[in-house]
Formats: sequence, structure tokens, C-alpha cells
Amino acid sequence: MKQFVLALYCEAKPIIQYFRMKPCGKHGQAQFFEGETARLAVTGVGSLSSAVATTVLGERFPSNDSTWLNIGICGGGDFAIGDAFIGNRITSDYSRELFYPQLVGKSPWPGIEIKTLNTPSNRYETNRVFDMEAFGFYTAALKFASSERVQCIKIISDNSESPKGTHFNKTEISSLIASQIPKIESFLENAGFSKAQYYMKSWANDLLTKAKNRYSFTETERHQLSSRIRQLDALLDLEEGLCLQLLLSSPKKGQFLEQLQSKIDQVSRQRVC
Amino acid sequence: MFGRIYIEEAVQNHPRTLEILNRYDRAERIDCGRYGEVFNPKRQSFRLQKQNPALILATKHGNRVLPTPTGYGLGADQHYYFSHMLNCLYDCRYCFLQGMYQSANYVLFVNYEDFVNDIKATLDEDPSKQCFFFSGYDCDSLAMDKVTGFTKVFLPFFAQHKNAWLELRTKSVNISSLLEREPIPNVVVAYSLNPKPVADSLEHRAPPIKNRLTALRKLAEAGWEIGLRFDPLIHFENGIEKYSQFIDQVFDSVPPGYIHSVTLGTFRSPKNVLKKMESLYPKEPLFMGNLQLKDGAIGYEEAIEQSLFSSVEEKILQYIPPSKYFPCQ
Ligand code: SF4
Repeated sequence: MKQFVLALYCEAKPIIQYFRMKPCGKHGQAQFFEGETARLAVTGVGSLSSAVATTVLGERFPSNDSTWLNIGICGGGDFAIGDAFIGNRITSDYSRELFYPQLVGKSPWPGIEIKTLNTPSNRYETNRVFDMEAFGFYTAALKFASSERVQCIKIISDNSESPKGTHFNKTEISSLIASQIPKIESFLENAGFSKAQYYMKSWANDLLTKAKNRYSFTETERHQLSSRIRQLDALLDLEEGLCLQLLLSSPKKGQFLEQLQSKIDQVSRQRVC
Repeated sequence: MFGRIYIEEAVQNHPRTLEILNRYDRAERIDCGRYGEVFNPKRQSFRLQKQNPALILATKHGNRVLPTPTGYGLGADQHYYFSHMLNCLYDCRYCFLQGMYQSANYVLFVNYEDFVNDIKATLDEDPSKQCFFFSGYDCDSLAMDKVTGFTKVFLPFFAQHKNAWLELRTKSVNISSLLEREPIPNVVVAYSLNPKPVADSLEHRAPPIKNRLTALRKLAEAGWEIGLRFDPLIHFENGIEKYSQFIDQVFDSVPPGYIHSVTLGTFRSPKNVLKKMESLYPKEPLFMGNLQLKDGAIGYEEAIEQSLFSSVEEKILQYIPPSKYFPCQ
């Protein structure tokens, strides 16, 4: 699942439309949207707002294989309006902590340091861009995904020639973001982290349920049971897996668990190479 | 080869850094304060990063040369190890590195001269003693030699210090830097070897066994001291028979007369490291059966380990004298 986090509705609008998302709730000033393959939070401006909305999104929709993207406008001294970057270092003007988002595949954007400011500024530098959310977003999103799956993409909306405040047009901002959608799509497809999640096969789920109903396991035994069935699920094909149902005829739970382990011992040495 | 290169502040102008940056001039460069800022944070996926690791150029402060744990030695008076690099080009499923580090990025410590000075200081503590230094503990000694220039610096040093031995532990067939020079009698090129089925299924991205044996033979014929490292021994169906045939094959390629030493090691890992490896590859049969926890480490069940170990040992001793054999169990 893709999880987009943006500060302003005008930034989010083209993404909401592209991924056909519908509103799915609010939290304070944050608004949430959901589609088949993506979710999105409009967080409001500022690092704290971004962190809060990111946390709410992650907690409302727990998932192990989501990719988190903070997309938004930023200021950058010598860069042209419309230039886009991916953060390779995320810093702020209020914390000594810093992050280095890790990249798995190729990025269609050059990397740059994103420095998150607490208040808007017209100060520009040549080797970094300034925004107001990335740091808060990154801190919060890392609770739900590893660094490779949390990225910040920023598009220059103001620079030393056209500083903030001299032009701030919602339609223009929407089109700046919209222009990056094809690259965002291909980045998400090719970035190497769209791994299929691990689901147990139905015979294994079935065996797990039946075993839990048949025997009264302690907490530790339940843990052993799940872990052994998960291993057998990886080792056995459907036919071999279905045969394990016969083991449920064991009168004692200890014997049942031992038989599962013997099967693992036997098959793993055959399958190791 | 590298999409990104992180450069620690302290080594930005180091000649080795500049040489590498010059070579990989298309890589994105990212400055960092200390390498740990990039390498150590939690919430990194070793498995994802292994697809395309970045390079981190850093300096190693202190603890550069360390004594080996007891039981790991090759008959010298003292044994040490050092790591000029963390992480490896290859991706062996049994490798402890994947359970040790948060990140799969390569860290290269460019301050080789400090390592050399520390090795020298260790030798100077008692010049009458023979000391063995193992490289390739946290990496493969030769796999990235073309990038790191490791042998260019360390081999000349050992050539001049006869009371010091160096082991280059490797699976690499990248041996041109060795073949281009005169062999050094106190440098051992030690190959990690496993039978083909194990190598094919578990030693991902490492050169095929056939090529490793060819490289071994070339080095032996050129006069280099050769080490054979059957480590870790892997338990698999008909494994004892396969190991026996494999050892015949190895000594057929490299006549025993060329061999400096042979070591044997079992598959064993601290519990927390193995648990992490297992969580990275939950479907890997290697981490599933016939294992037991003993003294905080997970290894094969005693009976399995013993029968595998003793049968391979017996076979090896058919080819070499006990003086060249060093079990690590
Ligand atoms: S070659 Fe050695 S260091 Fe490299 S992955 Fe394999 S076991 Fe680990």
C-alpha cells in the first residue's frame, strides 16, 4: 500500500484524483483519503502536524509492507521552480537528530538534503532545500516502516529569484505536484520494495486452527505451534501439507508438537540444498 | 557499481577517498559526520539494502587490531583479526554479518596506514613471537580489492615483516593482484569451500566452486601459500557422502603439498544473531531443523554436528598431516 503524506490540500489534490481516493475520516485538522492501492493524509502545515497525521494514518491502517512518501513544495536557492528532489539527508532547525533515507532501487530525482524549518524563511542555500514537514513526517513514519520505505520528495516552489510570498497560487502548486506523478508511479513500481507479503497457505491455517481447537496449549506452546506450522508451510507443498492433518490423531499435545518438529528436521535437511 | 557514496567528514580529503570518488564519479555523494549515523540506525532493512548497497567511506578509530576468540588459531604464538571493511559483496545465507549489522551498506575504512601502524605496534610488543593476522572477518578480503586497493597496501607490509602472518580469507576469484607479484611466504590465501549443492543454494553471488578451485590451483602453482577453510559445515541430506566426495575433488585440484593449513568449522551463531537472520529469511530451511541452543549459541544438535565433523575430519586427515589441520569447534 502507498501512504502519501502532504501538507496542503492543493498539493494533495492531483494525487487524490490520480489514485481515485475518497475521504475516509479526519483527525483534528488532518483529513484522510483512501483508494484501492493508496491512502493519503492532508496534514496541515508544519512538522508537528505532519508527524501527528502520519502517526494517525499508520495506527489506523497497520501494515507491514507500506511505502511512505512525503511529497510537497520546498524552497531552494539556485534551483529552478519545478525541479524535484528526493531527500538523502533529513535535518531540521530544531533537533540534532538527522536521518539518511536509504534507497533500494534507482531514483528518478537527484538526492539532496532537506532541512525542515519551524517557521517559513526566505533564506536560501545552494546545497540543501527547505521545507516545513519532512523531519516530522520522517520521525513518525519510521515507526511503521524501515528507512528504505520512507522517502521525501520535494518540488521547488520558491527560490532566491522568486521568494516565498511573492507568488503562492494553489493551482500552480497543484500542477507542480501533478507534473511529478508519472515519476512517482514508476519510482514506486521500480524501487525494489514491492515485496509480496508473506501469507500462510490455507492448509497451514487450517491445521493451526484445528490444533488450537483440539489441544489446550500454554502461551509458550502456542508460540511453538505457530512457528512450527509456519516453517512447515514454507517447506511443504499442498499434498505433503494436507498429510499433516493425520498428526491431529495424537492423543497428547506434546506428541503432536514433537511430530511437527520431526517433520521439520527431516524435510529441512532435504530442502536446504 | 554504487548508486550512492556516503563520505565521513574526516576522510573527505583522504587520498583513498579521492581515488574512489574519482573512479565512481557518477555516484551520488552524501556527506555525513560519522559513519555510524548512516550505518547504525535501527529501522533499516538489511535484506532490502542487500539488493543495492551504498558505499560508506569512513575512518576507523581504535580497536583496529583485536585478538581472536580462543579456539581460533593456526598454531602461531598469537592470533589477531582486523577488518578494513564491514559487509560483503556476496550474500551467503549462513553469514553472521546479516544478523550483526542493521545495514547492508559497505563501510570501507580508508585509513589503512593506521591499521598497518597498529599491526606493527602489536608485533613490536614482542618481536620474538610469531603473530597471525586474519583479514576478512567482517568482509571478504579480496572480493572488492579492485575498489579498495587493500592488497596494494597490506601485502608490501607483510612482505617486510617475516614474524607476521597474514590470512586473506576469501571466496573471490579476483586474484590478479596476487598473481601479478611474487608470492609472499608469510601470506596465506585461504578459500572458504563447501560442496557444490551447498554453494549453489546458500552462497549467493559468490563465485561457483569450480571457479574457486581453479583460482586456488593458479595461486598454488604461482607459489602462494594456500589455506582451505571448510567452514561452516552444513548438514544436508547425504551430506557426509557429499563432503567426502568434495574433499577428494578439492585435493585433486590442489595437491596436498601446496597446502599451508586446513580448518574445519561448524554452523553456529549467537542466538540473537541467528534469530535476526531467520527473521530476514523466514522461509530459509537452513534456519529450521536439527538445531539446538547451547551456551547462548544455536548450532546443530550434538549428534549431527559430531558425526558430520568427525567424518569430514577423518577424510581431511587422509590427505594432510595433523600439523596442518586446525579444527574450530
Ligand atoms: S563470503 Fe564470507 S563474509 Fe561474504 S557473505 Fe559469504 S560468509 Fe559472509
